[in-house]
Amino acid sequence: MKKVLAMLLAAAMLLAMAACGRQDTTSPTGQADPNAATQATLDPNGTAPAFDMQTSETNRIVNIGTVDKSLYAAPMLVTSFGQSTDAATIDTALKKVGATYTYSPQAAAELVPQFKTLIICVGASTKGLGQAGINEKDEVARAEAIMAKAKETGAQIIFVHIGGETRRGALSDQLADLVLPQCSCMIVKEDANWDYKFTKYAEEHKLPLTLIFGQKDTVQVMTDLFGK
Amino acid sequence: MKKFAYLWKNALILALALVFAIPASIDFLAMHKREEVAKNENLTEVRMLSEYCEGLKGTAADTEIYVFDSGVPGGTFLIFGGTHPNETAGMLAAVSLVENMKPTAGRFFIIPWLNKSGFTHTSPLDGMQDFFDITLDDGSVRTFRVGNRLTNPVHQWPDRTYYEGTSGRKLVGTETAEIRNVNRMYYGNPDGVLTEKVCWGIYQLILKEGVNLTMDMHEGSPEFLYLDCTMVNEKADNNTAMSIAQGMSLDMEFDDLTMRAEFSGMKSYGLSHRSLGDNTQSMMTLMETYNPSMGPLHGKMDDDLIINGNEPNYVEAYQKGLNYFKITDAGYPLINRVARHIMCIYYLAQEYTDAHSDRAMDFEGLGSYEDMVKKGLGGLLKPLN
Amino acid sequence: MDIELICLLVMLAVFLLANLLVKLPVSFSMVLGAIAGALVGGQGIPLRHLFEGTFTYLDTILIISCAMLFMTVIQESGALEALNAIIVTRFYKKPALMLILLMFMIMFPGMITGSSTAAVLSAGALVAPILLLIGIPKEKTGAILAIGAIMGMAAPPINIPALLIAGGVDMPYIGFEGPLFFVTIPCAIIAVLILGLKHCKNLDVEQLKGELNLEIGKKYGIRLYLPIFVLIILLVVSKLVPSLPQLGTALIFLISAAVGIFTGRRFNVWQKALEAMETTIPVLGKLMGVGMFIQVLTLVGARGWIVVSCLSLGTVMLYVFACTIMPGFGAISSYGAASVMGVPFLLVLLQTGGSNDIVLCCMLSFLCCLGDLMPPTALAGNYAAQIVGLKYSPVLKKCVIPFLICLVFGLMCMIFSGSLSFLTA
Repeated sequence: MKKVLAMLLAAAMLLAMAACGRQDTTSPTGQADPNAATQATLDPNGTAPAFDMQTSETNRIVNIGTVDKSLYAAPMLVTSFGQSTDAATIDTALKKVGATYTYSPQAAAELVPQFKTLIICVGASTKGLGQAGINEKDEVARAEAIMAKAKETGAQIIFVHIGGETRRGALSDQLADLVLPQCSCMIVKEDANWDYKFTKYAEEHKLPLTLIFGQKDTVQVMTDLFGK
Repeated sequence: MKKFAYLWKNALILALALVFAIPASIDFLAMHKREEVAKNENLTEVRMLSEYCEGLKGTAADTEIYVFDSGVPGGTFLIFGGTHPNETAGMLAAVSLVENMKPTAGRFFIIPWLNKSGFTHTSPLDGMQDFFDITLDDGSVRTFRVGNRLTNPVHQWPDRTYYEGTSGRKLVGTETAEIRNVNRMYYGNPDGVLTEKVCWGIYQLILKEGVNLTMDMHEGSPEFLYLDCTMVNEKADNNTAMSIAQGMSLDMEFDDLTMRAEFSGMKSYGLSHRSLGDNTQSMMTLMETYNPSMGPLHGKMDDDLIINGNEPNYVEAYQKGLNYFKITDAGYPLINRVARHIMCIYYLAQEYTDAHSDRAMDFEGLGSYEDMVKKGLGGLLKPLN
Repeated sequence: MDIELICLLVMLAVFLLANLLVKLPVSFSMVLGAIAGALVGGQGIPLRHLFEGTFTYLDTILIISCAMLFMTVIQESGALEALNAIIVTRFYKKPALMLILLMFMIMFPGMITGSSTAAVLSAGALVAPILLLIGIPKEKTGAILAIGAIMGMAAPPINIPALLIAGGVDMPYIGFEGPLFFVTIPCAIIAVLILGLKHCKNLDVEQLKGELNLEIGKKYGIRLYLPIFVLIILLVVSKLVPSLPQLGTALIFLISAAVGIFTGRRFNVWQKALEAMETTIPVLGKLMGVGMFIQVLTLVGARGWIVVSCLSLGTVMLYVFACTIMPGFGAISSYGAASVMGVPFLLVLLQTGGSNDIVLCCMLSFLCCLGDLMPPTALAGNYAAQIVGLKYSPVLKKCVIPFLICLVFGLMCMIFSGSLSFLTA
């Protein structure tokens, strides 16, 4: 009797294990929309809805409005608000273009009067701030000081946000909101625009906006702006 | 008489155990024989790591350094794979470089099997392969080892329950086994445990040879957050390292390859990019690619998984949103990972040269990413004879 | 049907057949299951993997062996008997408190060895006469021993299923004490009170005294307890001052055992040590077998298959399965349950958000431990029944209510693991 009971229990367990087998072996390819999956999984907060992208693999750069290139006179400063790696990307892109500029991701506000044009790369990175030995409060203070100084000197400001969706945290957005009111053109990697924040802002304030698909498109955008 | 029977029984059990143990130990011991490298006429010399750390001489951890000197003055690039032996692509990328490269500027130091002791064993419970075979274009077969990420306990034991090396990392709790992890013990100690001597060797090599740029090649399990990613210590050359790395990242993107650059973590104590970057002049970088055989979800373990890198379990996990890293049905074959490592190294050298023209470093002989993938491992690796 | 599933079924079937029908020991049955799985999975007979798997739990095996020697010493030297006498004579007026203390006595060897078998066979054997003496029926005494041993197995500092799960996801075994005490202590107290309290309201202390060994404590005095103090001090010191040269848990047990040889009743050390090892070897063999079994599961891809399959379950089903399969797997081995099922369940449950990894791991290990009550192996139940001289079914029947209470409590802790994260500090 005991033996039968034991075998029954074991069989029940085996059945249970078999039942926990995958129910959806039918079509791994059936769930085909990999982009949709990307949207859902790569969003750390699970909030990003699928949205209409204007750029794509084949149409990589979309210009909304026209940039007045003559605004951006030398000397020019490239700096970072938030110390993500994005300023280094712009540095590299400008180098490839052969532009003349000063690269200082942690530039102090005192430097601002020396420049007629500021390229401000917005994107907060905890790792980057740590690397630079700066805390969030000091970074915001530096950003505020630079923006105040730029208002005084009337320097032209290019707003750059090329970190994509991962650079849309609270601190990144706070820093972006500091720069936007004073900028005269915007360059945004489009996946960061999932809530249409940047397209809406550009529309409301009649600002020229360049949407890019990937980071490498910064080279083309910088060529268009500063190429010789 | 009864006692006699008892002895017989024990002897029988012991004999039975030996029947299992002897062939198994032959299998294990086979892992102590190292792989050969095909001849490359551009090779300048082969040194041993013990030349930079006396204590390594004659140990299981002493390892070959392949030196390529272009004869054209310039910078020095140190490249190593096999920090973690189970991260196969790094080791094979280094072997491919050693067998194919022709330096045209500067010097290159290449170490394919950095933790040589780690290549001599596998870790229990993981069901890892010990070897895998690659058939070359001429029909010959080359066999490589897959090892364990840690030094073999036969060579360094026991793990202390508390250890503080030169890195500032305190090894306690279950991190104690990391005392056998090369990438936790930098910058090492000439009088420390065996693993620390390996670290010290690298540290001294960088100092004595005036290495300008270093690449530590790794792979990660699919759950890892930093895949197709290069860690960079920003400090080198007055904080210009990140721009060089971003340049590499853009160059890769123009080849339709992802390789984002990331800051080295401030608390990554004992890791090469942190500890060596903080304590030497070299720009330190560390690269990671995806390796499905390293993840806990992997299916059947065989050559196919290691070489073709296709794991349906991870495709499913990705589709269910459990992985950040995008995994498709196409898999991520070893040759693609090896080629990606090599391209990353190539572009880093290019960008470094652009930024520091007095320290130029350049090489040829491997072709583009497409060339390498087209050739496959069978074409990229050279026959031994 | 997936080949991985076939491998899994073949391995389980061969194991069960060998164990239940051919009556081979659990460890040998696991070896056979592993070999069968490897053959079906197209890996031939992978000697290297079979061999390597047995080394997985080398550290645990060393600790259990040394702890068993320690238990034998304090049992033989009279320290445990003296402790029992003290508990009964001091606390007979407060039976609830006394029962709880006796429960802790049962748990103690399980706590330090991580094995319910060790707990039943050592402390259980000593406490059982007292429980019978104060009027608790045989089957309920057996049930108390079984549940106590399982709570001891799950309680810190050593909880092997928790170690196995944590090891499987690269989680340091740190901060587990809080949640494990939180779940085991209340369950142990509730179980012993439900089972025993109504039988020991009015105790006759004089009759009890006659049955206890009151002499041994007086004869040797405080030095009788010296090995226990040494053990506790060394364990605590090694925790508090990690930078001191470390002895390791196994050596600490050995040192304490060596001290115990000289602090109480004399006994034949060699003979008793041999006996102790003989009782332990099946447990050690089982650990080696489990290691081999799981190495092959991993090798043929069945482990990955199980994890991915679990990913298909919804949250509710996940909890239902955790509560049924984890203890159910104990019919084979609670260690196996932890290694095979514990790791994937933890990985998947962590995805549900708002959870605490350490608390989850503790609760899953707790559910695994309950598997030691699951027939046909029912390790804890079997040995407990043996001690009170019964077959295991009446004992297991008395275990049902406490078992369900433990299950529900563990499940609640798992669901609200996020709010329990303060326990891990």
